[in-house]
Amino acid sequence: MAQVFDRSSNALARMSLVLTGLIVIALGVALDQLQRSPWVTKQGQRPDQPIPFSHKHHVEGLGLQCQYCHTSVEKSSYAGIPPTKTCINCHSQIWTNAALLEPVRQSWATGASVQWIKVHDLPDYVYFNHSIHVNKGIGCASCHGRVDEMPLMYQQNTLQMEWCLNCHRNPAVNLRPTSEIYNMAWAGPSTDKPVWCGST
Amino acid sequence: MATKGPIVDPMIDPRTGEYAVIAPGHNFKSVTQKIGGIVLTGNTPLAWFFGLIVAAGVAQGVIVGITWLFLKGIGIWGVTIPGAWGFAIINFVWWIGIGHAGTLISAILLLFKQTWRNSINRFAEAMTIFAVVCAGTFPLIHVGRPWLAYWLFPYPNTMNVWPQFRSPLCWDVFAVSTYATISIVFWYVGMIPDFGTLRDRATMPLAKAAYGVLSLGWRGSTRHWIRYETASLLLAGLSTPLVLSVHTVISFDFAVAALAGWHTTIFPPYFVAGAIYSGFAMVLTLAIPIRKFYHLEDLVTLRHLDNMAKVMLGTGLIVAYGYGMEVFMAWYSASHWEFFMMWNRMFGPLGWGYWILILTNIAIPLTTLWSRKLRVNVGFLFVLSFIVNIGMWFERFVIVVTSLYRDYLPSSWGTYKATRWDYMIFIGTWGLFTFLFLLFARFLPMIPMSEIRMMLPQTKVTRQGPEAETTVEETA
Repeated sequence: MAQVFDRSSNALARMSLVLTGLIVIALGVALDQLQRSPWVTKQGQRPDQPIPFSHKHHVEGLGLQCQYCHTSVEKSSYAGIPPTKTCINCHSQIWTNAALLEPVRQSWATGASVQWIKVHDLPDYVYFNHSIHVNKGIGCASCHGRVDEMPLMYQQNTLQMEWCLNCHRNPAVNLRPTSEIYNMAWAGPSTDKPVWCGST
Repeated sequence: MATKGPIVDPMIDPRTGEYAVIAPGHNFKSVTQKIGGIVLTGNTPLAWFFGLIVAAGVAQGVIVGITWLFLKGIGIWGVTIPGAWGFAIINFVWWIGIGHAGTLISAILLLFKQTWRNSINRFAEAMTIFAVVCAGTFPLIHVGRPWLAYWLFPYPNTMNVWPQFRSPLCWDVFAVSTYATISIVFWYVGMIPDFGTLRDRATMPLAKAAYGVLSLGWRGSTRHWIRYETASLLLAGLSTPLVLSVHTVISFDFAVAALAGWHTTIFPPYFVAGAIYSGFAMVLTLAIPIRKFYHLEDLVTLRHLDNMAKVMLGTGLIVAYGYGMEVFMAWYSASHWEFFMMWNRMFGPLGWGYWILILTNIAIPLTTLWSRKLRVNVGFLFVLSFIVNIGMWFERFVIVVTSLYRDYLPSSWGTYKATRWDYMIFIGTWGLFTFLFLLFARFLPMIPMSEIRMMLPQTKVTRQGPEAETTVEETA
């Protein structure tokens, strides 16, 4: 009887076994990586805001304290996006002709809100509370990154549940004195400075 | 039909006086031609095409029903707040129960060295797998958000959330997925020698290549056979506790709950017995038309039907004992909820379900199956197999629905009425099952040729040496 399969089938049969294993492993690794990738979490993405607001300029450049704009962060679950009024406090006098700020002036004139795009957008089944974190020693930078160095806002961390749980299971590593909550440059104890000694 | 004259056992070997399992007059070649010919034929029977089209049409009920279910939500079913489990769970338990006889035949009877299993084990295993396909659909679609059903599997995820391993519904996932996997592996391992035969006998190059790939280079060497037998025995030894535990786990879905009528410690063995009862009924439903249509009367003999009917009688009696115990314990418990549950089951608004159950599961089968005349009456067995399957469906209906719709709090009493979508998906699974089974009948060897060959008288070494008619014409 003639052979159904020639000799090359031996190699094919062996390869198919190895390949099946490799495909299974590759799929597993790919899915594991994909669910944590910036493509899923939107980390580092800078959406097109109506106005290219620069935290770097306002915080690092001008020295504004975080709560000047995000007023309710210590009292409310929601930290708040400043209303147009907050912008107009200064920009009724400064850069009054800048084309960049036209949407702010429009908003002020018409009363329509500026349509900011939310960068840190949790699903609505999560009831995140800002005030409890801020009052219990979690600084802005721990979750939001060095916002003072962000010309355009982006999401520093994954905001995934495992990220929340990692801190809730071991919060001590991220806690800081409540006096340093808004200090973007605050660094915890390190090997050089084993004990944190307050600002000098 | 092969029943002519008085019922003298045609299966007694006139030379040895031993019971033969298959009809006399076969040799290696005739067995192979008979079974392999169904697969390798150039003329597929028209009735097969007709059946396939009808089954495919009925199976659309699953597709249409599930599509609408996913679009509209679970509310298209008749489930309500007291009776949140309905057809989906009834059908799930019913289908998975049907599958259990396949494993009983292929595994448990192998452990007991029952050679009469050989003629029926292949299509009983196929029945298992297709029944598990139908059953497995229901747990996936009766959840309100089926697209999140993968959360039932333990896998590392960004939520740091794992399944609750204390829920029997979580055990169901493991039970059913293991059951499906092991059944497929056992089924496939059993077919490898037969695929070798089909590869060698096929004339079409495509069939040759297809069965060649499936046979995985089976050469039938002694070493192959030793390992094959060991693997089969090990798989049988694994499948036996598996089949007992799978339906036990499914019974835990109910028994773990605190509901009167569900919280019953007898459920695990009683569910397993019921599963085998309904499963054997389904094997008869399939075996009887198949042996007639493909003229397999000399391989699936009256002795097989007789034995299957006896197993049904045995398991049916266990089931009857279960019903009796439920009634007894409802009274003996002195719990008025238990007492009411049983009263409601018998005489409540859905009491007709209970009496159908008693009629079809106890009254008809357990009185008639004692009679050997009826056990070898093919027409009677065929009708009876339907009766028992109806009865076993009603058993699950009674357990699921009557315990739920009237329980502890009378202000939470409701009723249950299935909608057209319940029926559509259920009937659709019959089509799906039949569709898969017809494909199996056409393309895979329905009866294990290798195992039948081993039972032929030629293989028996007698004092005079091997039988004279032994030839080596077809060994494969």
